[in-house]
Amino acid sequence: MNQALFIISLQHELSMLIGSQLDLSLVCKRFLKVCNHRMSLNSCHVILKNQNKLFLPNWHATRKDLIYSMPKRFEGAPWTESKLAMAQLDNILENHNRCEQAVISKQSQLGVLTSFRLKDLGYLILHTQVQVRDELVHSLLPITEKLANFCYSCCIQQQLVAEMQAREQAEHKIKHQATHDSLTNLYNREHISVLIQQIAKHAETNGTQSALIFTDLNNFKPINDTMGHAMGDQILIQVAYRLHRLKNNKIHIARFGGDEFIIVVSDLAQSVAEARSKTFNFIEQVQQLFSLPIRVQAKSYQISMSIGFCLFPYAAKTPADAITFADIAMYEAKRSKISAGIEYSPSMSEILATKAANVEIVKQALANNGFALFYQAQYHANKQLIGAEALIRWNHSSNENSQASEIIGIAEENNLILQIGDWVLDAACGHIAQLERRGLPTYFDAISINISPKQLITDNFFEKIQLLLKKHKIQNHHLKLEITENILIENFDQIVPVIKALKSLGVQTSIDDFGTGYSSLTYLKSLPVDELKIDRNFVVGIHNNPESQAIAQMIIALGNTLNMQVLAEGIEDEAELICLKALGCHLFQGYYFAKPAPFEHLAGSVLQPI
Amino acid sequence: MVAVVYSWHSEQSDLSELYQAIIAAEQAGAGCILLLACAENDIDSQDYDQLLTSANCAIFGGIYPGLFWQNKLLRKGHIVIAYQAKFSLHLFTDISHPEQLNDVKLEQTIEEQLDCSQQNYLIFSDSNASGLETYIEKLYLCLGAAKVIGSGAGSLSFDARPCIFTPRGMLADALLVVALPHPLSTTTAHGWEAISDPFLVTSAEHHNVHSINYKSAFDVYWSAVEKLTGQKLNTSEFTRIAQQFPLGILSESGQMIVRDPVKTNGNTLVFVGDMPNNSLIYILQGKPKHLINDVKEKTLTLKSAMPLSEFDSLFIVDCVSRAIIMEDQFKQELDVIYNTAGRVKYTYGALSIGEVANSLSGAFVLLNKSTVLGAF
Repeated sequence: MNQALFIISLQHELSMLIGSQLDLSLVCKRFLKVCNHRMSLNSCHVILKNQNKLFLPNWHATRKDLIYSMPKRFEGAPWTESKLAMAQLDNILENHNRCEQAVISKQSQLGVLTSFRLKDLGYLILHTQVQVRDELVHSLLPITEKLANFCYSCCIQQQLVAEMQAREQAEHKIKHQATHDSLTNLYNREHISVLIQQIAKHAETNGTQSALIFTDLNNFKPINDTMGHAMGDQILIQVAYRLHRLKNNKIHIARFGGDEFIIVVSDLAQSVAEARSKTFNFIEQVQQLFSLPIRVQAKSYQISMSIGFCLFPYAAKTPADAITFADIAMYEAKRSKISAGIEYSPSMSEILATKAANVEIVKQALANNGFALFYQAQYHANKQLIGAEALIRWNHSSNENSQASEIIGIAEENNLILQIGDWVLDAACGHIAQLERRGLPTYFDAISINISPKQLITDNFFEKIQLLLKKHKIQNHHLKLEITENILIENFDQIVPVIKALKSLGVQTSIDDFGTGYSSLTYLKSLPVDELKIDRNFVVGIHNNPESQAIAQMIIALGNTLNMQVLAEGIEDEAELICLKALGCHLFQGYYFAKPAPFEHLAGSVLQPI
Repeated sequence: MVAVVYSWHSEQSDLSELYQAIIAAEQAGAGCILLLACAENDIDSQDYDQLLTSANCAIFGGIYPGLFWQNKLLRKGHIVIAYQAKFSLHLFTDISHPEQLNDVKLEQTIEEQLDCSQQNYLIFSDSNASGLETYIEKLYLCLGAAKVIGSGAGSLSFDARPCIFTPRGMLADALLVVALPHPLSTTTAHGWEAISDPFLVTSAEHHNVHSINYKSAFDVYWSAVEKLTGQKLNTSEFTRIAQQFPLGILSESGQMIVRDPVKTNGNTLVFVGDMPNNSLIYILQGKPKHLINDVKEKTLTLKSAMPLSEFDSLFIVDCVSRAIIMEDQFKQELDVIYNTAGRVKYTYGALSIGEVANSLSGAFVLLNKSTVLGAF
């Protein structure tokens, strides 16, 4: 009677546990706990064949099974790590696998192991010191059948859940990919545009101003070019990581492309002044993020940003406008090297529009032979015309004979400068050829051509000069290339080999605007340059300016020491000429002698001594 | 064998003497020190804190209603046992806090704190801590069938006061698990016998049994005891009568785990220790002779398993309610243990409120009205 009561109560308790929750781990744990307590087991185990690749927390995986044990350890080690224990469990499982019986029992080195088959899913093993009584074993059979059904349901359920989770993850991934930049994991351009639209709509209803901040890394391209894109990508990831620290529900950050990032700060204030002030404060925080260098692969990179911003809806009515305007402001910040950030103003767009129009005009001029070369003659103190500087002019309708500086300024911001430079070189060499054919006097030195830095550092510049010399069949020494001192210093390592190569051809080089670039004697000594041109700033009013006289004197002495010619440019009156002559300068250029004039005028002058 | 390098006991609650004993123990080369104290001592907890936290080696143990030194029961005083080895101490605090009792979290906590490969442990617990049994159960789950002997510390006033000695001071609601570096041999005795037909626990939550055989737990128990005694009993004497008639949970292996009903709450019976739903329970009776005989028999079993002369320590954890029920005859129980065990160098222990031991199958169980012996 007592035994019957025990069995019924045990059956009842175990039966109530199964299916109490659809959590296989939890139910098995509770099931084994009750078995252990009520039947005084040494241990008990649920072993499931791992054919369904289930994931069950706290279960141990063997080669082919998943096992949950109560208690978790045997002689101090997890069951699956005990060779003795696993050998005994494996042994009874193999025996059971070979027969059809629902339950088998076996004496082992652990004690008595009783294995109940959980259909084809696995086994329940009870571990006791003495044989489990038959009536108890039989009373457990319907319970183990119920447990097997439950395990099966859980497996199916878990597979369904796993499938759903996988689908959800895939959907989430697709959604994430659609809205995020794959490199930095920040929002992408498309998504930030959507967010800006939403913020703008919200701003319309609640009357607040938001800021669209456009940033661009300074000098990032050289890093990419010299260290490779992989390194560049690592830096971008680090930049994104730092920017991401600022993110909150009102601050959205996106990679716009390349090294450009957009930060949108929403609901700054209702007043434009307050929003502006807050934006400048925020930009300070952004710059602060980069006060310490970024370290990638044991190398440090000091990163700085050019930042422009636009308040919207105050300054921009559409998201596209907001991005464009902030971008314009960013370029203004980059140009003026202002780190505190610059706010967009409509005048920036006007300047930009003018520039764009001018670029178009330059392009048209290039296409339609709209440029002409003028020459400003250079003279020796003995009044012989010894050379000339070629200067570009264009003839467009609104501004006839525009200055070279205007053309160069527009062209420098684009790669148009390379095309213009090529045109100038070609045209000037053509003119040299014409002069040579008409018979140049022996004292005539050379035609000087200004070379832009972009031209000079192109890979094939030297080859281009060689081709031109060959094409026009001119004497190489009649060509003189002028390089400004500042550009020379900034790109010294790249330019020196080019000058040396030109020298080997006999092409002359001249350092323009000399005296402004803090040239050191050391580098000057190593350069095979033929001429130094005293900057016009030191020439203007030199007779009344002892400082300019001292500088000019120093340049002349330097030229003499290094065996270089020294030419003073920008001579406008006789007093300046007399002063410079007195200082020992013998070569001159300026309005006092001649204004820039068309080639035919130069040709006439060269062939008729003054 | 865990070597004892120094021992001291006193029946006075003199703090300066205790300090001197601790210093002497340290000078004798103690790796750690077991300190047992009587609840009757007139020493403030701050003084114990000072002693515990200023010692040069770890001191552990607890405060109990009484202590044993050889075959003597001390109602006041201290016992100091210094071991040569440094034991690993693992302290669990706030053990009754519901957050600590979260199933998964508790397993993680135990596995993180304990080196679960150890196989021999002393356990000191606050008997007032309601989370104790959950911890005991989880310790077994994580450790497997390691050997344990544990005692519930506190006083018979059942006040929630600090009672566990730890290197961090004296703590309440704490459980201290001490890993022994050498084997521990244990035995458990009670001598209580079933005197009723079985009952089924039909509604219970931890310590509280609401219904037995689908009826009011109190009504079923009380009427059964009245039937067994053949008397109409006064419910105002519940505590005294219940001490004579505890309940026992019968396991499949035939082992009876004794559970003390300590009070009633309407129809609910409140026990020291959990009473699982669907348990088969019996009303028990313990005659002093039977209780003492069982202790003798189990001491002999312990001795036959391993010669006790190979151990320095025989640690006795004996339930305080046995001392209450047996009154003057309790001394005989101590004599039986001391004389039967024979040549163990140091026999010491405590009157505990709840005992922790291995069941026959190896599981850790919280016992009532039992005697647990541990030789190490």
